[in-house]
Amino acid sequence: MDIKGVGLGLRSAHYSDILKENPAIPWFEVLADNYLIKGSPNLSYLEKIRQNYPLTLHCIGMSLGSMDPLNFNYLKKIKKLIKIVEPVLISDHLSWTSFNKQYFHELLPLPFTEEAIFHVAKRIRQVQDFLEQKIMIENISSYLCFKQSQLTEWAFLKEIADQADCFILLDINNIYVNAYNHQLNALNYIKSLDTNRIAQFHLAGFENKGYYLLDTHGASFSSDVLKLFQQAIKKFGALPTVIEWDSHIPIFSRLLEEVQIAQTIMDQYANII
Amino acid sequence: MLTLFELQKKFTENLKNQDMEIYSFIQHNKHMSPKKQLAIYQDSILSAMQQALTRIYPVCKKLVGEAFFNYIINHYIIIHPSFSPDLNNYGAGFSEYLKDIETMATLCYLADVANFEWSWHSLYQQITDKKFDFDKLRFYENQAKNIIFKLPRSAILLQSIYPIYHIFLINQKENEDDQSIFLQPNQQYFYIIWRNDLGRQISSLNKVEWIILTWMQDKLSLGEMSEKLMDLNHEINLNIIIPQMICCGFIVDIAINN
Repeated sequence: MDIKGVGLGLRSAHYSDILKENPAIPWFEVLADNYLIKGSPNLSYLEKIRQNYPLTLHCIGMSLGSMDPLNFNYLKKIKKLIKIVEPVLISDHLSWTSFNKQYFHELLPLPFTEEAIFHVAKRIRQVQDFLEQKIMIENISSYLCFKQSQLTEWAFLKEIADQADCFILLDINNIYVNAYNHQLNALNYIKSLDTNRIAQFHLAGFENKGYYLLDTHGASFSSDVLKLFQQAIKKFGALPTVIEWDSHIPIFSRLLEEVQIAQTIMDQYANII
Repeated sequence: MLTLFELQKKFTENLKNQDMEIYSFIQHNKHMSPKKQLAIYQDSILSAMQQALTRIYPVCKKLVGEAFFNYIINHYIIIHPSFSPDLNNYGAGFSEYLKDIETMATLCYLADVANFEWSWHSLYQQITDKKFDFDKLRFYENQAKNIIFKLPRSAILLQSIYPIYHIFLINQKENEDDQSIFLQPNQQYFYIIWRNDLGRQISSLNKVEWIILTWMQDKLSLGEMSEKLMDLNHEINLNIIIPQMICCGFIVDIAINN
């Protein structure tokens, strides 16, 4: 199955809109962690929505960068969900969320080092072997950099994807947030990321806290992020794109307007080289 | 240079107890010191856990007020880390934690209300069982004494000396009714809560019903329950009460105890 165009992050607040109106959205991205219990109401809704739409699964619990052993109980649940909804693609973040069995429920940053590349790539390969398919890894927003980093963020991302033989889910908003937070050039990130492993884009909104941008997924994407999106499409093509909201989630009709905006940009810039 | 293990260890030690060793491994930012950069993560982690507890325990929050609730949960978060990748699983021990707070003595029912709210919350991620199949009763007719009754897999039996469901109801957002509750001495309240289709169900029980349902949870057969009931209450007839429980949805299946 193939997906194209601009999809939406599925949120429970919109189940009834989707089931009633069957909107013209090419696919939905699902937060996998909310659907891991067989027979639960969330999963019942998801199965109904799946009848009409392709899905991608977005995970937050793999903790790919952690020094803890992989949580195979969690991965078993993900594998069961994969069998139920047959997603087009599965993703998690290039980060760590746990240490010493404690979960922090936050995407924590990695140092861009050879050791981290080796460690994370090995774990991604283990996850892919277990799930019997390639996954996508997403670049995260971060609020600090480690002195010991030896590579740029984009080189780190590319190297891990190459060593793990996985796809990249390129979050355009996160590039913009990191460029602001670490005084980098966001456009340079896109220009320098030399890979054909990108399978999907993310768009979302941030909150300006003055000295830094906070990746909240609680606002519309900014015009600067859309400019970066244009450049990403020009370079990597009109890859499937998801609009994410996690807080202050608006009514569904407003999300449809955002889809339209992003789709128009995609159509405009897809053929510009 | 720190190994990845050492770096994650120092990073998390800072998150937990502000340990400063990690600072020297973080790049200075034009606008923020390492301390401030790490504080963004500390705030975000705290906020996620606060939001989880606030979502699960809205009635407790209403009963003690926002300021005191925030004070309590901040302390709870410090001493109770999360050990699940799913934030929906965080906060299970909040009721027990409340029992140990001396200043809670004036709100003696708060821990039981919290236990109710946790149970109610946990139902959301539970399985819905199929409806009772009456044909099975006929199938096991000749082995009636050995029949064991199965409650919904989501069923939770609760008891309290406080009217916790009443307290829960009158503290819902939309409820504008009189919020007075007169606590009766020597009273006991019994409930069963369970998942049914896409909704959550609750039913108040009398003491005998509650006892019978706990026996069923303990997999006592019909014969064993009949014997125990003889000692407890001669007036209760299981032939009447069990069909009623099936109709109410308290019993969803039967099997034979071998």
